[in-house]
Amino acid sequence: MTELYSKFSEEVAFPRGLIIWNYFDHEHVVGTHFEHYHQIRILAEENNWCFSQRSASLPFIPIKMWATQFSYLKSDKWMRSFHFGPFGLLLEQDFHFEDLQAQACRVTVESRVKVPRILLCLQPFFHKLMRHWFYSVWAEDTEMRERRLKVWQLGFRDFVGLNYVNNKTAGPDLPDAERPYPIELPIPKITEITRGGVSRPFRRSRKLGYGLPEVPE
Amino acid sequence: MPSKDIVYDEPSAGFVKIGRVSELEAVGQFSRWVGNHDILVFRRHGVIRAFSNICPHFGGPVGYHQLADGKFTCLWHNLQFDADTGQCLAVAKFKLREYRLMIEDDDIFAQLIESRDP
Repeated sequence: MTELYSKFSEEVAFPRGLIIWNYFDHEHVVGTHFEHYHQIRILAEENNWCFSQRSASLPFIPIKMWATQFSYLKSDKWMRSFHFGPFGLLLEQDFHFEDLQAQACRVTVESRVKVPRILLCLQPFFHKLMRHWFYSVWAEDTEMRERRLKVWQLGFRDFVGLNYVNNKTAGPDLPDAERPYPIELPIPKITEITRGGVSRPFRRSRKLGYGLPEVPE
Repeated sequence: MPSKDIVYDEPSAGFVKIGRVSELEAVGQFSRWVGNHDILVFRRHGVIRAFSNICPHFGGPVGYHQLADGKFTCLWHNLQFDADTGQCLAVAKFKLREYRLMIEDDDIFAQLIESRDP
């Protein structure tokens, strides 16, 4: 046996707590990433770990694939994930979160999979696959994190919203850029994801995006 | 008309421009941040209305997808909202705020603040 290996890093202007919230918010997989993932079900979950089953369409491989995934937060700066896929393949991933500033961190992802030695020639493809998948999903997560951080700094409360919007009163003049983002797991659930699982509601839609730019004069 | 909670000198006071009617021509809806408000504007049954575009769940964009079957579907977690009432179809306590609008020629104005209470 030999090992295929991939590693890359990305610096992001988000607090570490928000990144970890994003990774453990499994319900968004068939929402934000509806073009990649078909279904997801949480089989078991406790404070710092989650065991889930999901189906997805991988890049370069035009078939729907099922995998079970076990992820746990080994520390508040290190997440480990194990993906059990077809043909007995086991993908092991380590996510390291390194604080750069109060509201920024570096995410480093290491991926490994053990394969028969004859498949060592797949190393370039494996790295390309990991990078392609990471950045496809990452781009969607980045927009989500930007928005989440924006509403968070405006005072958003989960399951409530923004008080000044709800109450129709004056809002903050400036966002609270220093509002701490705590790590609080597990993320509260609203769907059947912990029971029968959830599916994406549609394969494609007319996407209008996160909004138009500033008001035209 | 402005809310009864605030007495404005001018009928149009407190209204802020949020877009143009012509921006609805393409698909019948758009969203935009105006100040600290993210507003979803749409035309339904010939009437222009505006809801908050911020899902009360985790803050996702309600108007990311085009309105379908009378429902908006939030991108992040697929919560659906009735386009007539703003009511969430899955979580009873979630309801989108509706903004009061004023249309002048091609311009759409919304009343962001309706109450002086904190």
